[in-house]
Amino acid sequence: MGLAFTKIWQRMIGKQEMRILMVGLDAAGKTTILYKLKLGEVVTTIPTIGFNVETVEYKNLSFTVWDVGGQDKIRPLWRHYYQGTNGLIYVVDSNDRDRIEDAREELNKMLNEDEMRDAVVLVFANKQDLPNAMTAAEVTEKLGLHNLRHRQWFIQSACATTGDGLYEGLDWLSRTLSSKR
Amino acid sequence: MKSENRSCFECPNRNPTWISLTYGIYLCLECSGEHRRKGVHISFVRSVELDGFTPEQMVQMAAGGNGKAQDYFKGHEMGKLSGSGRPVDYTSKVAQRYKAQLDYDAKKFCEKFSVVGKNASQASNKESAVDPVDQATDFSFEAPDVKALRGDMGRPVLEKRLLRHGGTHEALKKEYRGRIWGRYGSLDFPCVISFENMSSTSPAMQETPRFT
Repeated sequence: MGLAFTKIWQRMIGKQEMRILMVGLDAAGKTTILYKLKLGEVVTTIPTIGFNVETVEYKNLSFTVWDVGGQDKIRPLWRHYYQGTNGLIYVVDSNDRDRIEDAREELNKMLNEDEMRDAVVLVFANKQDLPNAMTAAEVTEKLGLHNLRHRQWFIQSACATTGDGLYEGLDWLSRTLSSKR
Repeated sequence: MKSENRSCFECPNRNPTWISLTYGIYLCLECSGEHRRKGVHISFVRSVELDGFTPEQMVQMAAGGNGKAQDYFKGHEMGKLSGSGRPVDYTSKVAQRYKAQLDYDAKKFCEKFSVVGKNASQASNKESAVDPVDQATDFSFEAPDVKALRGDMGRPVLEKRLLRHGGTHEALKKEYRGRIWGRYGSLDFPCVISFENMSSTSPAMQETPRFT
């Protein structure tokens, strides 16, 4: 009884906890996004060797965001973070046309994993401030997002340094994850 | 590793393990962050230890190096060794020219020796890969001269390879055509291509592949 009440209480005023995994190729802007969300500031980042983890409170949700390094040889480590992931934030450097195909491969590989079958996917088409950035529509097409089956996904153009688009992305995540519960 | 590459291109930090492929320079972790902020259209940064490389990218690094870049930018009053110590402006015409020359050098070299790349991510995602081309962390290629091959370390390795390939240099050459072998850690691989005579100004490189 007490437990049931606690659950209802948490539903009403408490925050639901969500485990979010944020990955993407190296230098996509994952760490910058994480700390922009956490602190509201642009921090001076260096390449992430390992991971950063922060909780970000937004609306009625408490996101535990795992930001994992994206260098080639540490990408195989991503899978150790899959278990229990409610949402995946996939960060793409929209300015990096040469490696968008790599980004597509890595994303597909990840989404084919059994542990990720229930995770919803938010794609940030980051670095929109750069001159030659691909639009969200281009990124959608090049990542082949329209071919995804049985998957809730959303793409949001973003600029981590100004914060543009980040909360729109979180909005979608919180709406989608809340309705899934 | 060449001594010129033993300190960061931008600052005094020692033993840099990050690189800007765009400029063929070695950077420390902090300065690699600085370069990444510029965007890949200005500087494409990778980790020597945590990323995989195509042969073309390795040629790019071997054709570049901190010494060559420092000399060039010093001549234009930029970089840590210049009188003014003014940081290199990577958006300047001067920097564009260096980048173009480096790309040209590397491309010529690749054409001359049929260096054909395999996909970098394919190369790197094989966790069990033991190919030294994938594992190389040193792009300086300073050891692979004839002397090294005749030395205690190099000779047996080369001979083993020769035996495996029917004992002829031609067969060896054919097998390793287009692949760059370098010195990796304590392992001494015979290097198919030597960069030691590379001139920093001439557009066409003059080296020839060497075999003992």
